[in-house]
Amino acid sequence: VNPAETFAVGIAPEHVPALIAAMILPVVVWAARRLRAGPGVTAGPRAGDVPVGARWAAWLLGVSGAVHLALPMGHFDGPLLAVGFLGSGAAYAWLAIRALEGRPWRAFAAPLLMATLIAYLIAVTAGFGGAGAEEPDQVGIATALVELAALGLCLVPSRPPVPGRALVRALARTAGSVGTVLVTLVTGMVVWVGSLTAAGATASTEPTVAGSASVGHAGGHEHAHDHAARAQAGVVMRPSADDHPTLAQARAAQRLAVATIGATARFADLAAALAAGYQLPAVAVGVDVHLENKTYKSDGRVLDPQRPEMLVYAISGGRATLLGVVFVMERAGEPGPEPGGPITRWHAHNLCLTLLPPGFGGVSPFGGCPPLSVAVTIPEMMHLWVVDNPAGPFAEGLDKAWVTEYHRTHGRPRTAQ
Amino acid sequence: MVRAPAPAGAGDVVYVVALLQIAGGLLGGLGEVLLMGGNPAYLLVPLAKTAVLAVVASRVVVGRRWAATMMIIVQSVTLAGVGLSLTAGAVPALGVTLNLVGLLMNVAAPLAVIYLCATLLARPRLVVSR
Repeated sequence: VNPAETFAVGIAPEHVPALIAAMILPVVVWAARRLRAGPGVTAGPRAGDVPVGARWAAWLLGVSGAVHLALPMGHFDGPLLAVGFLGSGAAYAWLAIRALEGRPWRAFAAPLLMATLIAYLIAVTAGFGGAGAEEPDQVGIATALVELAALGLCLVPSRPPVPGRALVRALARTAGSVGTVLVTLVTGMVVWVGSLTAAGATASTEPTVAGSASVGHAGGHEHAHDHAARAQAGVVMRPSADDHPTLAQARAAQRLAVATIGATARFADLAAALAAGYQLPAVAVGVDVHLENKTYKSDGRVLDPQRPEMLVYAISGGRATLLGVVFVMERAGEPGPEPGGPITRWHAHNLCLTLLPPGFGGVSPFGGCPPLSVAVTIPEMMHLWVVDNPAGPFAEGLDKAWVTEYHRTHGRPRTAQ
Repeated sequence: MVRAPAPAGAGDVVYVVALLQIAGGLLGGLGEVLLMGGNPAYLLVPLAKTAVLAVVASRVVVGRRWAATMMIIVQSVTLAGVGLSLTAGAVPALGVTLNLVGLLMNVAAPLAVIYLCATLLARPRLVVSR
């Protein structure tokens, strides 16, 4: 996945008109000001006459307005939602003009901003009108950030304090500051949960392709097929050219699954995997313990059922259950082969590497890492589950409850480790 | 010597952007805590940066020149982190993910804060006779 591809895949196609609208907003504003500034007519207050904060608020509100006004061009979710988009867009535009003209705007903008932020969070977690949740994407999250900045300018009273009311002003400022941080934090967390839920929904709605082997893939209905981890919060996926596999692709995926299941049967015992060079991680207990084989990771072989780069086990209670394998590319940015087309989709992880203390985390939906850390993206990988599970062999993940029960009934005693 | 009046509201914008950065840093820290088995030690650095940003931003608002300078340094460190990530992405085993939100938060926001702080620092000092 090269950087240009990841940038593009982060933007949902239905949000492209909104992004374009936001980008051409400066041109529209410039043209509007030129039109208003006819002979004998002033173009409104000069930029220097309006406080910097109000000017920034005007642009932030204007961007959000442009995005909302253009959303119906890409979203076809019914007339009610379209009216909502247009209404909020018009309201933002009106407030932007008020701010730019130096008139009061905060009291109107704050409730509107809160309402649209809440509506967005509902959209990415539950959805509207039974349409299902919308997968968070870069345009949606960026718009939320723009609105959060505008909300901050609403909630934090500007300096200087009014004489005689310094304490009240200071308290209001503190409350506004804490409120802005909390609302931003909650927004980020909900978007993150929405992103993970989208991936989880993809993994759990799994049909099987016709055939004796249970070859399925991530996505059982149209919405799930579209899952592309567009929030890019820890997971990065390549766009899929076609969501529907051909018969040849389905058969190729089935052959890969059958070959991998057969080749890894020798690792049913954890001891055999360790003897073959797989290494346990530092925390070797859980429902998805990944064992890495450093030799296989740099052997120049790709998607080789005989030499999977990682094995996944459930390990607990002195027992281990082989669940599947992870094929890993050697170099970051190199696309993995997709013999099964959209069935065999690869993904990468964008991670934050920290030194203080040493560790790693996922890049947040706001594109950030903890301070003093570096964001990197590791090579593409693909899971293939060798156990007969409801989500199929190519699901992005397995249901933890299902794994726990399977491990309870199929786990083999750990020996000689 | 006293300062000339600050450009009205520039400090407020810096302050609000700093609040968003505080929330972003805490969110990243919480994500790391979750992945590192709930170890709260991973929140220490995000909390330290929160304190630095909160103090410095609140001083920028009231027109302290040292705070504007400090804020430029903090934002420059953020930009350097982006540069470091891009450099790390050149390693064959690692890559880099560029996206709209990341560029907004990690590049555009620090640049905007640096610009605003620079305008605050560019104000002429006024000398008053006693």
